[in-house]
This record gives sequence, structure tokens and C-alpha cells, in this order.
Amino acid sequence: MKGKKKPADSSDVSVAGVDLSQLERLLAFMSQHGLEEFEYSQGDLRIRLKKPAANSNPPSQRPMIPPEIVVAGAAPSAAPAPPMAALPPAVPAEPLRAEDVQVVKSPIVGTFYNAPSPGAEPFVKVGDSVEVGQVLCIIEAMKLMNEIETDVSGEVMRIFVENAQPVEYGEPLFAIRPSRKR
Amino acid sequence: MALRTLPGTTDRRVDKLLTLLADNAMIVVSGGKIAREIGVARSTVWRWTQRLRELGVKVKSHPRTGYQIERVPDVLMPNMLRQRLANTPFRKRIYHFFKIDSTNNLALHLGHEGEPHGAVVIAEEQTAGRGRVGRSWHSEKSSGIYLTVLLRPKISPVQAPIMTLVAGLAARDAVAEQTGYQADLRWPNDLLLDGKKFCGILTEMHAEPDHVHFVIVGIGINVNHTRMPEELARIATSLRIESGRSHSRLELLVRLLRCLDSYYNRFLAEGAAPILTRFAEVSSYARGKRVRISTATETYVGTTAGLEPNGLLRVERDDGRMEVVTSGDVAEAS
Repeated sequence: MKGKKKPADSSDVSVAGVDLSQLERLLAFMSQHGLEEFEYSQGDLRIRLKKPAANSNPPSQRPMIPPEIVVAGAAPSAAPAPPMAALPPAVPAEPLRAEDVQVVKSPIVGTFYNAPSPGAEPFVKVGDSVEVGQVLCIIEAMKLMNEIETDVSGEVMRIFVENAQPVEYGEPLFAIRPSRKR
Repeated sequence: MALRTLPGTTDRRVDKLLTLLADNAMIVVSGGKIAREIGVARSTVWRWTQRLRELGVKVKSHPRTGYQIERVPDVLMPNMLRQRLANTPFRKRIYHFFKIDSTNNLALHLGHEGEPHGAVVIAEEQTAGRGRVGRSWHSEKSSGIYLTVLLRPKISPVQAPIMTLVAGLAARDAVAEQTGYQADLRWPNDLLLDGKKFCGILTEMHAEPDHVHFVIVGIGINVNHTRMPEELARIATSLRIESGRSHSRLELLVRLLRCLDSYYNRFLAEGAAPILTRFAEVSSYARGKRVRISTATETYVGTTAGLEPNGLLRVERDDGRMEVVTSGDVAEAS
């Protein structure tokens, strides 16, 4: 690896079904050849890697910027639809970068409900805009109902769990992309 | 923080009127005197007296002389409660409603607005009492206890589900003290007499992964219902139906809040262990019970095998597999 550090945050990005060591080999290949951007496709899998643009900040202040990773067409078999397919088609393969996205995690072990009662409209869907304090879902454990709210305003990019499924402590539930205006 | 005046809360002067009548139960108090003391017109005194009668308060009107209460009424007015809740966090902030959609809804709202620990919401009647997963709670006027308390425990959200056992145990002990009936607890916190439910608890939490903002505990107890609606009669009952006599809701409510305070402090001081031990002592569902578990995704039959340290129910399926129940309906299997 020629002394190059592995990006510490790359595991925060959902790389559905893609072998991480494969990505690491590609990253090594990029730095070896001084490439800024690299696109790779095999079958229905498409991977685009892009190194952060050189900027004026001294590297010591921003040492951990992960490369932008886009994975398309490699949905895990359990998910009903490829996550990227849920994005508006007008924005083709918009990258989901770790620093852009707030991941909402479960504070308890419990059961995930996407709606206030069975058959009711879900609290939120992918693509919805949400406001700070808006309820995203309910996690139930032992008849303790835990309303999960977003603490950022933005757009729901992903919903990681299906209705009525068990979730673990700290399990990611939603990815929210904060709106630019704060 | 001052007690809020919320739309629909019972006018505090109605509370004063009742206290005045109850404190002077032996004498006739003139309408003019009452009006002066609580600061309303005599016609309002008359109107509020009517209101109290609707709640079952026996107030005698003496033409030209005034009003007299015939017996100390079983209404859950803040003043009457406050006097009996010394040394608990529940005495200071009591919100009473004649009618409300759901005491939990209001308590959730108060929680988000920064209402302090210990606030109590009571209603004589709920028009949209809530249960799990969108179910409703039958809340007949002035027959039951419809209560929600707001708590701000300094615990991690991971420990919070134990609060549901805390609430169930408190309700069970309060009923035992008041009526002598030793109710069964169906995991996690339904109270049963003769296999029928008469008390349900819905707990709601607002938390972040490392911090509980607040927990609200909603408790509904069927006390003096003379009969249950037909669609519920097979599975639900009331203390009155079971015992053949009526019970003081006021006294039961006071015992409930006192027991809740006691179990809650025990949980904060000693953790889950004494709560789990107590649950195992009083619940036939803790161990060795044939049950049918219905979750949102499946139904199966097995035998209960104790609680996990975090309060979840262990159930051994007939094929030997051990399940840990997080949520769902637990029913006795034949």
C-alpha cells in the first residue's frame, strides 16, 4: 500500500454487496497511478471512485476525507429494490457521501414500525423532506414505544429496515441528507 | 416553572368549589359565599354544581340557603390528590380534564414542551384512549382511572424497557392494597383477574441513543365499570365486576402513584434485578406458562422460560428452540 492509510470512514458508506478488499485494491491502484477519478463496471455492478479534489486546506487539518464511493446495481438480495433506484431519476447516480449524510440509529433493541398503526400511511418515505423533530418511525420493546425523530432537516435518502422487523441497538435506520440551509 | 393553563383543563375554580364543599360537608354553604370565595358569579356556581353532579358528586341544593355535599366524592380532582401525595414527585403538577382525547397525547406534548419530571395527567373520560399499535382503550366516563405520568429518568435508553415492568408491578401492588385481589401480570404489564384484563399500560419514550429525554407511562384501570362492552366482555373486566362492589378511584390512584414512586426509586437505586425478581414472584407468565406469541410477522406456541436480564421474555418453542420476545402479543395457550 506504499504507506498510504486506509480511509477511516469508508465503512460508514453503504457498499451494498461489494467486497471491501476489492475496493481497497482499486484505491491502491488509483494512488499507484496518480488517478483522481476511476470508474469500473462488471456485469450490473458499477463502481466510481473519486479522490477528494486538492484544496487549499493543509492536509494535516483534513486528513481523513474519504474518497467518494458510488456503488450502483449491486443491491443486497434481501432488499426489495436497489437503493439507488429509489432516487429521483433526474439525479442520476447521485453520490451518497458519508460526510453528507446523517445516519439515524436505533437507541434500543426492538421492533421497527414505519407507521403509527398497521395499514396506516408510513411516517416517511425515501425522497421525503423532513423537518427537525419530525417522527421517522417507532421502535417498540416490551410495550415501550420509542418515537424516533430526526434532529436534522433534510431529505430521506435511505430506509435501512423494513416494517415490523427486529432491530439491534445502534442499528442504522435512516440516512438523512441535511438540507444546505441551516 | 408555573403550571400551564391548557385548553380543556378543568378550571381550577371547579377544584376549589369541590374542595370547599368537601371541607364543609356537614353544613350548608350559601351560593353567595361560594361565589365570593372562588371568585365567580352565583350562576356559575350553579352551573359547576351541575357538572359535578354529572360526575357522580352528590350535591344537595337547598333553596334560598345554599349547597351541601352529601358525601366526599370519588372524583380525581388535583386538590384532593395533592393532599395525599406528600413526599412524591407527583403532587406538584397535576393536570385534570373532564374529557380529553388521550392522556398520553397530552403528556407527550408536555414532555416536548419541557414539562418537568413528575407531571401527572388525569382524565375522567378519554375519547381516544390508546393502546399498542393503534389499538384503542375503552375509557368510560368516571368509571376508570385514566392516568399518564411524565418521568425524566437519568438512565440509558437501553434500560428504559424495564420501566414497563416497574409500572405493571406498581399497578398490581396498588390493586392488591386497595382490594385484596392479587392480580396476575401478563408480560410485560397487563393486569389480569380471572384471566381477563382490567389494566393496560402504554409507555412511550423520547430518547437519543445515549440519553432519555422523557418517558411517559399511561395507565388505564377499569375500576367501577358495571359491565364491559359486548366486544370486550370475553377478554376484559373491571374491579367492580370481579368483586361485586365499587372501589374508590381516588384512593386507588393515590396508592398507584405511591407504589409507582417506590418501584421507580428502587429501579434507579438498584437497577433491574429487584424488578425482575419481583416480576417472577407475582407473574404466572414468567416461567413454565404455555403461551402463544404473536408478533407482527409470525405466531408460535411455546413455554415461558424466565426473563432476560434486560427484561425480555424467553420462550422455548416445542421443538426446543429458544426465542427471546421483544414485542408482540402474549396469550395463554390451551
